[in-house]
Amino acid sequence: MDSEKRVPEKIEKPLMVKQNGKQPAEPVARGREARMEVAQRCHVGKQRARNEDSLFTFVSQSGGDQPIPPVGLFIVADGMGGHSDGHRASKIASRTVARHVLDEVYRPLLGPGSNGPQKPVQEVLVDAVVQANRAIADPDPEKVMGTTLTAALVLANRLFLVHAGDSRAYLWHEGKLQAVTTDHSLVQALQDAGHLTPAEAAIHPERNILYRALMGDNPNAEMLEQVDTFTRTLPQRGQLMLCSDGLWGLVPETEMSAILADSGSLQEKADQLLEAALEAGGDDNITVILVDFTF
Amino acid sequence: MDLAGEVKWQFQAQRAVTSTPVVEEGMLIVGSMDSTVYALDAASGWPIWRFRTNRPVISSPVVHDGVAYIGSADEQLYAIELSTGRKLWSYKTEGQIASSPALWQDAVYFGSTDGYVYSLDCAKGRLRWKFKTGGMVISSPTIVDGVVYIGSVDNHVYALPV
Repeated sequence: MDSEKRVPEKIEKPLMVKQNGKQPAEPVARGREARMEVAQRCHVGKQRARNEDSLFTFVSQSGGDQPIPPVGLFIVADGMGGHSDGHRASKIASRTVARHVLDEVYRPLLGPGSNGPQKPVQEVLVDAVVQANRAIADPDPEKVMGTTLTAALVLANRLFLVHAGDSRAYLWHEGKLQAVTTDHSLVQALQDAGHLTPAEAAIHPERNILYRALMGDNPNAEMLEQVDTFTRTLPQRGQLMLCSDGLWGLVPETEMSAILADSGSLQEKADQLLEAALEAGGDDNITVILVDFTF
Repeated sequence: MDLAGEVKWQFQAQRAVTSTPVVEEGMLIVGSMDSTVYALDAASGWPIWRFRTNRPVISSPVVHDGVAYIGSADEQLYAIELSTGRKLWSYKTEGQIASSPALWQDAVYFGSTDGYVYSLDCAKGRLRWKFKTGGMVISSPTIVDGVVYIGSVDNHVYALPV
């Protein structure tokens, strides 16, 4: 009688797509379970009376026969304080984007055929932002609500981003922190044109002026041109970080990198990033989302 | 399809797909006679973006450095950024482009039914040179050791320095 059954080892065969004799740098491994873990903090800071940042996170993972791929949706919106009801703008915008993206991209995956999104995913994201912009429009021209918005959708091992304003998304991979969004700010535009150094931009009196954001007053066609969209495959392992300027404006990237490289849990790192911003003065609302992924 | 011939996924355009797909960074790029260039996720077939031209796309794309180059029957050669699906530039000829472009160093080469063989710089789509044949150029170029080889409806095969 066999004393124990031998369980065959799983053989992992990376799916490699060869093109023109070249191997891709990061094969998608099948057989190893994909995983996403998320941590977040959203804090009023030390000097503001109200938190005008909003965040939204959603992660779906499945197993068993023909599991649907991992899906993650992560949104940071920073209501513009100089305008009325910035807190409402960020809340409405982030939830409108979440509703549209989950309806158009995630729900089809749950259907009997698991067919996935029918419309190109980048168009779904832009449509979501157009709807969010419409949702924050106020019929009273005296009331202009405004908000930044940065939304990251992870679908299998592909990242889709849609972005307007100066909230940021970063990718942390192999010890390096790389911004994957560009600020739509006056100072960034001046830096890009060579008129300001990063050090000068950090203390510029008009560093909070944005030339692109959800303001509710853009006609839809203009809105389409005003959002950045971006897609890329993600490496097998790494972290995504989304944050408002209440974090990146106070905590240098070197310090953020050191915290991400630390050995603590993901939530401990999110807490440390918040603490670093508070210790640096906390003069704005502070929001951070961290996503640790393995594909 | 997988290597056993089983269908892994299928994607339906609005009209025939005669363009040959190219896969780069997990993204499959292909044109359709519905006038659209599609970018699909190579693993799942899900649509990532689409880029609309004004006439059918018979030409097959070539991809280099994050940019897809492809011609359309609307007489234009397009450079499309893979990460955004947005046009970087386009160049207008006087005839339909059924020819599939080829790249050599920093230039893109293709033919047009206006009878010319074109060389454009990849960065901005500026014309480097054009060569007039005696008939429509539907053939796609092959480039070896700095020489562009291409056929024309005028019954000739041409060898042109890059």
